[in-house]
Amino acid sequence: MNTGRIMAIFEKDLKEFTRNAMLFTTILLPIILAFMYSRMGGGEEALPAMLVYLIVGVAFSAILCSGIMTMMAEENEKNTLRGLMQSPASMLDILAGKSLVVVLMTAVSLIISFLIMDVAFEWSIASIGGLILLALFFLNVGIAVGLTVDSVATTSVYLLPIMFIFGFTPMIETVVPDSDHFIRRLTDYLPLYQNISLHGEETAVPLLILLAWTIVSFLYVMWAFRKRMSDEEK
Amino acid sequence: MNEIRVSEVIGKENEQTIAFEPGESAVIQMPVGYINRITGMVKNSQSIFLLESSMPSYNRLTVREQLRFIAKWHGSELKVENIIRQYELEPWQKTQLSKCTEEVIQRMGYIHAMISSQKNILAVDPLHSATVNNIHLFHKALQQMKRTGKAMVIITQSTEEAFVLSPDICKLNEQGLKPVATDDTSEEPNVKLKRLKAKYQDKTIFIDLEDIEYIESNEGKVLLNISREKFVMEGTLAQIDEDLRSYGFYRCHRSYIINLEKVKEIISWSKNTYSVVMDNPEKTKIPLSRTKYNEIQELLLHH
Repeated sequence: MNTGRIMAIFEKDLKEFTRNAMLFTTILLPIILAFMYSRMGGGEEALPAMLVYLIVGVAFSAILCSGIMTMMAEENEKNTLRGLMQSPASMLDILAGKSLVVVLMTAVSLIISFLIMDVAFEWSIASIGGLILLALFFLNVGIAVGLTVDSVATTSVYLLPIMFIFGFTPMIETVVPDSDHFIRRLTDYLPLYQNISLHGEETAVPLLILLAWTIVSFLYVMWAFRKRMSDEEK
Repeated sequence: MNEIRVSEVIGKENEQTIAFEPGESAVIQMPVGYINRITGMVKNSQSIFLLESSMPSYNRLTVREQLRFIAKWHGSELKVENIIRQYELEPWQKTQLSKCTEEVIQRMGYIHAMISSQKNILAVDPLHSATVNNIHLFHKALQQMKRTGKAMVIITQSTEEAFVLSPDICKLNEQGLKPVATDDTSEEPNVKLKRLKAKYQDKTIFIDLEDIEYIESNEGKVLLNISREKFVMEGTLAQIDEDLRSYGFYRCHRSYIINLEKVKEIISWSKNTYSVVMDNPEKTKIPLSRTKYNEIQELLLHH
């Protein structure tokens, strides 16, 4: 890891991110949703955790995950990394720099959304830890897909299912209203629901399930990285 | 990887190698098939910087931002301001790369190769449709890279382009790598004639001397060039040179005879690399031997 290089990529991609309309508008998505939801309840009672986490899910999938995926896909498509790559370490620097950009952008968007929604509930250590695990999960998935696709167009094939299953998880309740349905029992294990549960009494089990998701995402990203590196050497 | 084995390129037994030597630049002319093969071999090598005539760039960055990024990434000591000045990019520095001309993009590639921390540079057709200005700037980048101890191998399809880069070039073909000789001995003229005879498919055609732009010898064949067309001629270049000398033709290089009437200008790219620019729409650049630089000027004035 080379801090100078990470910063070089960070500065470059921050400029590219803000000048790319497709990426930049993703920041607005959670903010607009937050605005709509905060008006729904008449603005008097506090918003339920489910809605807050829906915004978190949207922000993580639409900015964190899709942002890094799109930026990597664009580099692959235009072959712009040629000339920059000198060793596998260069790729780690590139990924780190880009991750910083999307993390920053997601944080900005979420903070504004939370301010608009006037989120009142307490953030315990467990729930913050859960949020970090969830962020890592989305970041890993985004990087892994970004390493394997060769064009921006292909990312949407991956992005849509990721957004619907992992980002908009609470929406499943409106599609399948029967809480005993086997789909609902299956979706109870999805990461976003664990974050909601972390605000209840029981924290150990949801944290473990979240950790399992994050570990799986790490395995995915390691596989994608190895595959990419062996392709580069051919 | 510090060398490319010739046997891998031509697919035949061969002991030769194309070596990257620090502070040196080798210019090699070869068929396009070999160029593609070498490009494929080098593409994923992390120790060789591959400079192609059109380098991919970050379209949303401005020229200045891209240069700053490259310099920072490669940990270069060079000042972006100086580079912009040296490479005549001042008018473009605040323009996004997506809006820059091909000329600027090509120039950015030269600069990237120069700034890169990679020591070995493989340039593929770097002067492809380059402007005169870019040819000058490429020479400048070459000098800078030599000074910093970089090793360069330049491969190109066109012999003329190769001679624009250096007076001493090599040729790669099925037989392997061979230097192209540039010096020659001249003899006295003796025959008179008005037209030249050339072959076109199964016909023999006669061409007026004043229509001829230049005559080249390539792979053992003598080719007569008239406005974008090439006709095969019989005989050797030395013989034709002898015949044409008193008709305003001049052998400016071992492999080229030019019609002095059709010369537009002479460009010196570096201390001993010269080109004669023909007065045709393509502005063909014919190599000029360093030993003939003074003589041709005399001839162009008095002939």
